[in-house]
Amino acid sequence: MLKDVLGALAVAHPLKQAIRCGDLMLTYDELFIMKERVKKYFAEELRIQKGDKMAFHLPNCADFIYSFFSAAEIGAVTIPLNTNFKESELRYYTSKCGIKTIITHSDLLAQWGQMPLMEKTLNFVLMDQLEWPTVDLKAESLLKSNPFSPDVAAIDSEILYLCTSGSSGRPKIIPKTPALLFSGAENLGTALDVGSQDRFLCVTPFFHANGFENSMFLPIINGASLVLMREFSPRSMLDVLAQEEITVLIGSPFIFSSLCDCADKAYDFSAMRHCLSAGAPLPAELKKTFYDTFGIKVREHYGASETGPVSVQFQDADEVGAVGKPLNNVRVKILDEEGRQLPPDMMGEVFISSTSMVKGYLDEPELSSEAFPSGYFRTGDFGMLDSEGNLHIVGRNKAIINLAGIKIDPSEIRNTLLSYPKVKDAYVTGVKNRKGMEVIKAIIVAHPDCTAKDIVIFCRDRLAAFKIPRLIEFRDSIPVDVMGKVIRSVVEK
Amino acid sequence: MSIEDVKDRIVEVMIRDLELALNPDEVYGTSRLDELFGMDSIAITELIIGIEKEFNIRIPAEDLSVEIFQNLETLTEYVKKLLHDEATMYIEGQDKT
Repeated sequence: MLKDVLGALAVAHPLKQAIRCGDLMLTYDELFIMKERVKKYFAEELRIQKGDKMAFHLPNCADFIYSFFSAAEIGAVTIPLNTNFKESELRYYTSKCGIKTIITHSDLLAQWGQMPLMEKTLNFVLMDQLEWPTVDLKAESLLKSNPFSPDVAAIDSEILYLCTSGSSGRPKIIPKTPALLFSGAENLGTALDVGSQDRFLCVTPFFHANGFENSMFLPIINGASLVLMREFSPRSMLDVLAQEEITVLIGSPFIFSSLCDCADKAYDFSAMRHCLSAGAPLPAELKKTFYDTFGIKVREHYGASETGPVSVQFQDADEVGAVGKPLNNVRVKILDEEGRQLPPDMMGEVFISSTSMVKGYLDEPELSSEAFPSGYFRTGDFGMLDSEGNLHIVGRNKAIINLAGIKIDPSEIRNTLLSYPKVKDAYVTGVKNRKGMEVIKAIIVAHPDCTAKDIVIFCRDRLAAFKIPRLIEFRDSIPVDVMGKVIRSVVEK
Repeated sequence: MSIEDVKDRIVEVMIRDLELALNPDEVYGTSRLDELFGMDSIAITELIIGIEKEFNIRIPAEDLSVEIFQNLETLTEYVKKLLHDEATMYIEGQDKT
């Protein structure tokens, strides 16, 4: 099925720009050919087979895209890993997912520490070191000589594992099938009316569900053009948005806020059709500032890795957390604490069901049955449906920190802090900074000679940089109740 | 502006814009910036935007490298050089008119 998509696109518009990444430009014809070559390399040289687990430790780049479609056609499972992860985090996911092959670039290899040398069972493939013949064939001629073969990757076989932060101290793996990916792309693509005329700027990392599904998979299967940014640089991004006549930008409040901060001249964004913000609540003031600066309305987009896209706020609304009506094939219900469905305008927990929703987490039957009761996903978000069917998100009941759209489990950071001999106790939470976005705060009970710098240095070698607490406060104790549970209202004062 | 003035203002930006719960002495006494906070893309972007506003300069994306953000000295020297280059360009522009 996936093969049909790229092959069909290559035949339909072979010379259309598929990907631009810095100086590299690939047409759909060339994308198809690269995918064929990489697939041959994976299957014949690396002996990748159906069900094999492949880590993709890559920035947003062309290597990521054709390697994913190659792996999927073989029936292998792609596991995108955060490029900021440190050795201990990479080791965890490698073991948890049974990864044997790591697709990466040479400048990221050092993050694996001793693993490339010590772990003989792991095969590290440096995509930037491989040499491919110059692309000189047209996909159509290749297709004629090599007609479609039956796909190995069935519509319901797992081809993607997304790693997400857990609320119970251990990260979870979300397995996705082609059917789920296509369904999510259709649900959002229909709402946005995505077509081959669109040009997406892909800045949200592909190792996030939002980046992978909405900024990469969605535009590719629609034959749109993708302009990739390996790293986030707001000033470069402003220039690219104008020069490349971008029509769809999917970002987070942090990205939109940084763009406003860096705008120091007039930009022509007249091609822009949709600016979507996801991952964290979009402050009303930011929405206004962005409109005042660029004349473009940022729409709030709501979704979860487990469910795929849920809604987009197409109507103008100043209210924070108004995320719009559920998309096609998405159902939302609001339940009270006893599990009773609530009428419109009543606040409760948000449950989602959609055609792009997974059935559960990998190898976590208990967690899965808790998180997916009766065919719905329990989001952990509080909200309501108004009388017109618009969804409003007002908060979370899970203790997850939301750092510019990246969900972080505080207990993972706490456990790291507690492994430091100078730390006696610790509490980790998210606090709002002056821009209204969350940063990580650690409240620590430590030996008297322990400094904030000691804490940062200790974390630096064990946690990805984005998980290191920005604010560190030392206290004499962390108050707990009779059950031994931290009294959040007191400790967070 | 002296190199010490540039350094003082960068330390101010760090504490103010990154909202670090550190005093200036802790920042001065550090050998590497990644001893003060997690150097992720969010923190680096906030720092760049803060420095650009503080000094009214533009840091070109192509200049961004790990070396610049290694420690307070490397960052100070880079900003000082950028200020000097911009001042030179301004004077040259004045001469032409």
